[in-house]
Amino acid sequence: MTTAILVDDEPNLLSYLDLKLRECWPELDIIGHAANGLEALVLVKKRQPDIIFLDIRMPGQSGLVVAEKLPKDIRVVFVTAYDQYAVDAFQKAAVDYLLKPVTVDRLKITIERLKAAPIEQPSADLKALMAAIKEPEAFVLKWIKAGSGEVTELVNVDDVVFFKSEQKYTVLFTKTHEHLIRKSISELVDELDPDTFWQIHRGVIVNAREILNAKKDFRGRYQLNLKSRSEVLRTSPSYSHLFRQM
Amino acid sequence: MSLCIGLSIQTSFLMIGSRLEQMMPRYLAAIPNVVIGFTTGLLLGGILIRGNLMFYFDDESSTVVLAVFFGVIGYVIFRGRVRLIDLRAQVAEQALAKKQQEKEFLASQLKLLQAQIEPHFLFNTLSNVVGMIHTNPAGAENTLINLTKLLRSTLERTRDGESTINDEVTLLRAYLDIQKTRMQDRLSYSINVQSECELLTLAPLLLQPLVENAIIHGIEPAESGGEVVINILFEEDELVMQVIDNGVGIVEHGPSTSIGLENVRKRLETLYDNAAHLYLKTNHPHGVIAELRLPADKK
Repeated sequence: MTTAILVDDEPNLLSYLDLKLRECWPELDIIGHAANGLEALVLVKKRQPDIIFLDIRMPGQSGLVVAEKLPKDIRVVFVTAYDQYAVDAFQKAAVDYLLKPVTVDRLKITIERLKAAPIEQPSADLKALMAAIKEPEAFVLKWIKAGSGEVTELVNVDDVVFFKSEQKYTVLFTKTHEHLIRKSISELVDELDPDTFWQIHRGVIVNAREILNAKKDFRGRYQLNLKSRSEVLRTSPSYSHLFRQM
Repeated sequence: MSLCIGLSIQTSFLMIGSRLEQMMPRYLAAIPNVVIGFTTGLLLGGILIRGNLMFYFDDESSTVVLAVFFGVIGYVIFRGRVRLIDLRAQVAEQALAKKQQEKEFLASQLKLLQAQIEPHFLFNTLSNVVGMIHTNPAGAENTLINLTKLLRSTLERTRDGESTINDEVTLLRAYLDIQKTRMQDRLSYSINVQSECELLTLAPLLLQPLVENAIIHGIEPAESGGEVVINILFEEDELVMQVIDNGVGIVEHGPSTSIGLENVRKRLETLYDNAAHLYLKTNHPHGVIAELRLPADKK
């Protein structure tokens, strides 16, 4: 008998898929449910099902990450709430998928396929699928934890006007506030989006969108005026090239 | 005396100039103006300076020529001043119109935003209703009622632009109940409103995005789920609204999740200038505290 497990973090959707599968494929033995990726992997190890119906967006590990860790002889059917755009990605990657809410007509097609080739797994290109579906992974710094002790304030980097090193610390300036942060200027340079945040001095990084104008002084250095703060920032010679064409 | 002539010409321009300009070309209209102004100027100058109305008319002609010369200079000075004042007024008017335009544009954008309910949320909710129809009809019914509430008040707010804290809380309950239907035991929530705050009016779409963030970025990604606590209270002369979750918290290097927050910030700027603030803090041991502080006149 063919066995299957169903994985979805939303109980209503899980029980509905269970119901419809039993209706359309009475011979299928549904041997378990799981609510997240971790539970799914444990269940797979314990029960070794032939088929897994796998939700993609789940807390913790996503369905795609789980699929990569599964033994190769398990057939995977993704169950997803993604839209048409992502459906193209599924087709290209040669994986079977169902859109939520699952309709009986569509479910029957999937069942026919599973019955026709119970073991053979199409060569699914999961890596490509992951790249296509996931929002571009942003490795740039987006939030900065400021302050110390019990309460830490979260500052969105887009709100930062400039950073300035001050002895051991770095001071972060927003339009209205100043915060002490622990990250050093050199750490920030590595982590911030270089298109937006420009290092203009050994100890200063400025948000390029906040620069009002740059004035050259008689020594060839630039003085930057800011849109929303009154401080004037000076560039050091090695960073002056940033402003030559401004 | 020359100034008198200049002033008179200018006055004549102002009083009858525009009417004349409608009847004949601009350069022709200048002639009667100069003649009338000149004559009046001489009469005025005569009476003011010499105490004799006809003084400049029985003197020798050189005075008149001189007077004409200075009169023209006087005219140019006055004309220039009037034009400058006109121009300044125009610039101020344009700036005002531009500001007004910007405000209207923002307002229209917000209306559009309010009218939208996130499609993912809508599809998810409907999937859940379908899922419950056979196994849990009462749950399906409840969810549809909550969805209707949410849609109706979204539409109403698009029309009115303002609602009370009470309305807002009703809306949040509908939203959170729907999310609870999806997540069941993984989500719990509580809403605490100080009674004095209940009937205050509040611009919509300030609190809701914070609650949505708490769910989508805090509780939903947490395997064991979590709790959302909403507190609304007065603190001195400020209305304080907190949305506290104990979810996964903000990941420093995570994808940008700040579109909702960005909108809240923009709205605060438009609605309250710099008098309102949005603070985000880390919750202990994990999660996020979002805090809105608005200036409030207790009613």
